[in-house]
Amino acid sequence: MLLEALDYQFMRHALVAGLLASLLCGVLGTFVVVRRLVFISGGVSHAAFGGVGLALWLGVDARIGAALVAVAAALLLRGQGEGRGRSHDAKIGVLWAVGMAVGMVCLARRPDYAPDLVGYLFGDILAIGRADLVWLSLLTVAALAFFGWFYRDLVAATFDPSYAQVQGASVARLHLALLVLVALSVVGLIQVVGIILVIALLTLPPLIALRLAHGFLAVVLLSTGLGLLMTAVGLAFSYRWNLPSGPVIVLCGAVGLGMVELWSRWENRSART
Amino acid sequence: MTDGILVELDKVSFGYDGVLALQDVDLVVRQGDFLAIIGPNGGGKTTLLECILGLRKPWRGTIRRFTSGRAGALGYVPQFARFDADFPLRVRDVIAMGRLGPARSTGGWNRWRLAPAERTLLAEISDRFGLTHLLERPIGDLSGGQVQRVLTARALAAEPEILFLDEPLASVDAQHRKTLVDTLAELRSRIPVVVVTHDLTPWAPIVGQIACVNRTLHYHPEGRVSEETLHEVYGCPVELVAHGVPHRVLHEH
Repeated sequence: MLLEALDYQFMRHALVAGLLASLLCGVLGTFVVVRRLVFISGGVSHAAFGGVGLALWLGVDARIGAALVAVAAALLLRGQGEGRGRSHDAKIGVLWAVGMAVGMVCLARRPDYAPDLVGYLFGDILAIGRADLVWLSLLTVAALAFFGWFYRDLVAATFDPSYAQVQGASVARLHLALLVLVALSVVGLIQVVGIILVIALLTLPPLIALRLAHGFLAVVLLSTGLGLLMTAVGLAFSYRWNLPSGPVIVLCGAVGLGMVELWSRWENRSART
Repeated sequence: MTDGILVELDKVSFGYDGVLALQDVDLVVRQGDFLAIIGPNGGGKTTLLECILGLRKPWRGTIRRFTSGRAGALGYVPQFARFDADFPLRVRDVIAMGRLGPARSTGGWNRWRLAPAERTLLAEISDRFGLTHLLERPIGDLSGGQVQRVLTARALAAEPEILFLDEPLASVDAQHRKTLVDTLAELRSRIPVVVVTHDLTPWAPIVGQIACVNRTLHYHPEGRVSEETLHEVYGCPVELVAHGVPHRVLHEH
């Protein structure tokens, strides 16, 4: 029943997209979680929706609009990574809302695109085409190359920025590159789970992995595996019960996180007695 | 003129949001020095250290470093309180971070695996700090004192030419205090050591020079401070607790 689903090209595309998304989220999501860039990523993804609206209004490819705005948002929000300052926090919130507002106003000017709105907000992994896969592949390769080449610098700069700086790492530039990659990935992942759910894809697998593994690389690899499991199981459920794929994928991850949390709590309790 | 001088600050000023935190600071660190930088909280001790390390650019004045210039030549032990306890790193990984600077000059900075010679060095340093049995533990599982030892081991793994430590004894228990102070005393014969501290007591037996920082800096090359100086620096009477540091009145600054 489930295997015959693979006869459909859209199902194969969806699985490849899931694999690429898992790799992206495994690598970048781990940094997003441990560097506390979750709110920034949320701001960037919602700001990107403004780009989608602008692009559709102007009649350009939506991906290009989203990517440009996402990168611009990342540039605007660099500076303090953890966003401790109140004004920085608020700035992200403003960008978040303004992006959505611009997107919706622009789309209202193009009523013929109205049905797409749901697609952008919640994604549709089953509608992924070749162009989306190429975009995702390029991003994944870029993220893996960046991660592989700067691995030691990145981990050091994330753990202890001042020390990494004294050891000759270009901390500010690494941080900016990371933010830009996260922004571009968010755009790439919009097609998979949509703007609203993309944060779940970036955060759920690393959160589960952080409970289970202790080394940085182990967390990255485990997040990738968990992301793949989450998308595959989510797709299977959504195919079997005819449910929207994006939300089901996210719910699978959430159930996984819940189970791991319960298990570690139970383990802590039994360790105490 | 630069005989044995490793770091020289000339009229260095730095501030935050238009307010001066350091004003016209002169300081020299020479080979063989053991310099303690003391002063009240918020007096600019850590800021001074960050300027010397190149993490902050002074508004005015110059900082000259006569170290080899390779990355990692300046050893640094930051305050441990800044770390995220849940960070997914093992003790081994944190100490290995010390090789990041040296590896930059030998061309292997982006290699994932350490060279055999590096592994030997790290094993030896871990052993010296009593960390060998903790190497596989997540850094978040360690006590404050243990983390402090890990950070010191990491700094020495970079084979620095001068070592800076920011409150290295915070949350270190008495037994390991002695180990750490002894290790640094021994290190002093090879490289100068600069310690930022709010409490001179544990350092009193080995401290060579003292700099009191409270926006301005008073330098005491003999390693002795008078109560008057402390009064001037802290702005209120402070009990001079450092045993072995004579309560001697120094000449006017």
